Amino acid sequence: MNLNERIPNNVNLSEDKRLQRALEKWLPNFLSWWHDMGPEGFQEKDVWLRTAIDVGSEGWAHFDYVKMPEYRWGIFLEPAQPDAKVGFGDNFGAPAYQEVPGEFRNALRRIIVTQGDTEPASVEQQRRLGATCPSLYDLRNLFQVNVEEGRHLWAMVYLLHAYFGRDGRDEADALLERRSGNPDKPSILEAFNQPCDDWLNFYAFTMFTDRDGKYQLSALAESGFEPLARTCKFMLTEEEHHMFVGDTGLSRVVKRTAQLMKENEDVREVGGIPLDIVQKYINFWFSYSLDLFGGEISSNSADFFAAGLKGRFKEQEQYTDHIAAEGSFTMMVVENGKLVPREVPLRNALNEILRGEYVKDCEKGLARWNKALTDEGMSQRLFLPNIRFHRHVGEYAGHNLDLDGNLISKEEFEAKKSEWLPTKEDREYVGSLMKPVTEVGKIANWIAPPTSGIKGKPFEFEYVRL
Amino acid sequence: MPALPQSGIKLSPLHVESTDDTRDYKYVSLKFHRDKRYVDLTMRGPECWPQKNADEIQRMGDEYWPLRAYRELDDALLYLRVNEPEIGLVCVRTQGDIQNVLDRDAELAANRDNWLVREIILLMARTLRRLDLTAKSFFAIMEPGSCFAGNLFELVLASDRGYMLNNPDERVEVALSELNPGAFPMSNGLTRLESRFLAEPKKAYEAFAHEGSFDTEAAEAAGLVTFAPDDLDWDDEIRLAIEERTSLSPDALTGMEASLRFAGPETMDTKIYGRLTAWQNWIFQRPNAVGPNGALTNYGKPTQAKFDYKRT
Ligand SMILES: [Fe+2]
Ligand SMILES: [Fe+2]
Repeated sequence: MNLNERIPNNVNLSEDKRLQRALEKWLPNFLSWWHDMGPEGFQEKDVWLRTAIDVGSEGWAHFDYVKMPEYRWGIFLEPAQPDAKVGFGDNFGAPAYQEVPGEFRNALRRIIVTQGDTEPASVEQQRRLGATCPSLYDLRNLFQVNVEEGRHLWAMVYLLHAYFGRDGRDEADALLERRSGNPDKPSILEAFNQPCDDWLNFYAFTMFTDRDGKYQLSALAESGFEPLARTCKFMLTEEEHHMFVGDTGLSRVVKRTAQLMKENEDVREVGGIPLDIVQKYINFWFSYSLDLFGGEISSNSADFFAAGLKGRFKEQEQYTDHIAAEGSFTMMVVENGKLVPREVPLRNALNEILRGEYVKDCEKGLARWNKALTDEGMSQRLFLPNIRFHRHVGEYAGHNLDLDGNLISKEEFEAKKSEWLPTKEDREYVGSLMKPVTEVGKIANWIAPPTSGIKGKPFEFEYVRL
Repeated sequence: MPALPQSGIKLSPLHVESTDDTRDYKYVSLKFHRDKRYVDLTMRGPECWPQKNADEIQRMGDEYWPLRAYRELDDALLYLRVNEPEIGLVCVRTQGDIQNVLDRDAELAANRDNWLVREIILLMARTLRRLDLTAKSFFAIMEPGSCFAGNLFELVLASDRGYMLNNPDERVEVALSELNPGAFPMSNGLTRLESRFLAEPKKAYEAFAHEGSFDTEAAEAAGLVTFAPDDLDWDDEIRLAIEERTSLSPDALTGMEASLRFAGPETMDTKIYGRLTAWQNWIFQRPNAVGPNGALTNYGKPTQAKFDYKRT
């Protein structure tokens, strides 16, 4: 097989024997993974998809009908900056690492594998959603997200293959062996083991969990290991669309609910999704996504920063002190059953600082959804729970906290749980609404149509040929 | 009792040529990479000659390869210990013809009852133990053109890791000789192969019993080498391994290496050099652990440990 023709790339694949050999072995495994674990039931259909065939502004968003298994997953890095420097940490100002420095090999591999693991996991989580799509437009967006998560996997596998030798090849194989939600070989991060089996979950996932991806990628886009930085910069351009799908998807659900509320106060009677269920899904996915940033107080975050491997969000634009050896950050921690402030050295608090940036970004989404409610004349409001609520990683894991972040007893939490997090009944009700709508220009009753289509096409366009 | 010698041989001073970053003997060369804190130590194998008897060996005197090469190796190791404390890693290489090395081993074995040959073998064994007891990391690098056979294969066994190129187009071989099963005991009284296969003594016997040389796959299967990267991975694997090793705490490495090199029965020597508990106590009170820049002092802090890379 001619890999160079098959795989669009700007990494000089045709000259790189080591990479060719690694990919020749990995590509068939990837395809069989895609076949077994990728979108179910639509593999043979033509889908109007965006494919990156070049990094230039023309080439990275090329639209056409394509069958997903024939999607041209490519390997793209942002063009290199001449004289790139390590932008932060103890080696600030040194030439950027073009190869993996031996002393950081383990840390870097761990960073890349952890990011890489999320990509196939989300495809697996979403694999059955096609059967219940609310419209062809949404179906196409789902598949766009799926193929690009596949490409993100490629991006991480490229780094493993090109820079980590045999270890890297083994890790790349293992990425295809773990399975979301499988107790024997689960995905590394818990949010990626949660079921995502209805479209409300899908929108919440792409809103909150893909947004975690944006912040992780942004921090890695600052990396002093230049191939990683350049890879992540390019991935961010794709991630934007995934978050758009989630953000506007939830906005459309909220808008439609508000419209239905005007018909009947109990929107269940008219086939809508009640706002309290939407709120519970927000609470669920927001809290699981917060866990993805890691512990509040973290020596890993300090080590990664010191080594120049993982920076802060917009490190170059937002900060002047790129050493960050001084200074501290005060956060609330649980001590003897009470929440008390604790001062933590800045470098050890970088996970928490990145999480803070993420929360600010999520709040903008909430503001948009609340505006949708206002526009429909509704006074109800959706909100983000406190960051301490329902956490499984870090300082608040193992404690019970309410939506406002106050410590409560286990009994109190259990008593309130059904008001805060989706219940089996809630999930069943949402599931009962999930009936496929596949007629061109038609949309399910529980969601409003988008304000515009994709890339100049109208909503009434045959985004997927069934 | 073998007869006492009529006369001895003269050991002339070793001839060394050195520059800032090289030190060359006749059969041993050091090439320093000081910015990366490692040195290449290359040993050149013997020339080709028909097997000699004891008298002929004595006539060669200190020019005889086994004597000269190992005196040079001994000197090089001592030089590294005393004068190059910041060099933490020695990459051991060899150049030459495997058969020539095996011929010399056969020659030594055939004449082992001769007083001089006996002394030469004891000197080789002592020098190899000196390597075992050197507080630096050793990687044996087995590439095309190398001659890690017989006595020189002990360098691989004495090293902390052995890298052997796996490339069908450029075969690399290693071999054992009749000297490996006993002529060069370690401080623990075992041969290096026995130490390596302490838990699987069968493997040591299998290796001794193996006919002919080992190619890379056979050597890997027999457990004689640690890693066998192929030609596409080779350069990067070696570079990464060197960079990784030299970035670690020198004291922790010294302790770990000493403990791992002397597995098995204890002797007076290994009680001093090979006891893990003793090393742990030592490591944990060193400035690299508990000093202001030490690893323990900085653990969990935003600052990173900064090591004094001098080996003891
Ligand atoms: Fe992704
Ligand atoms: Fe994504």
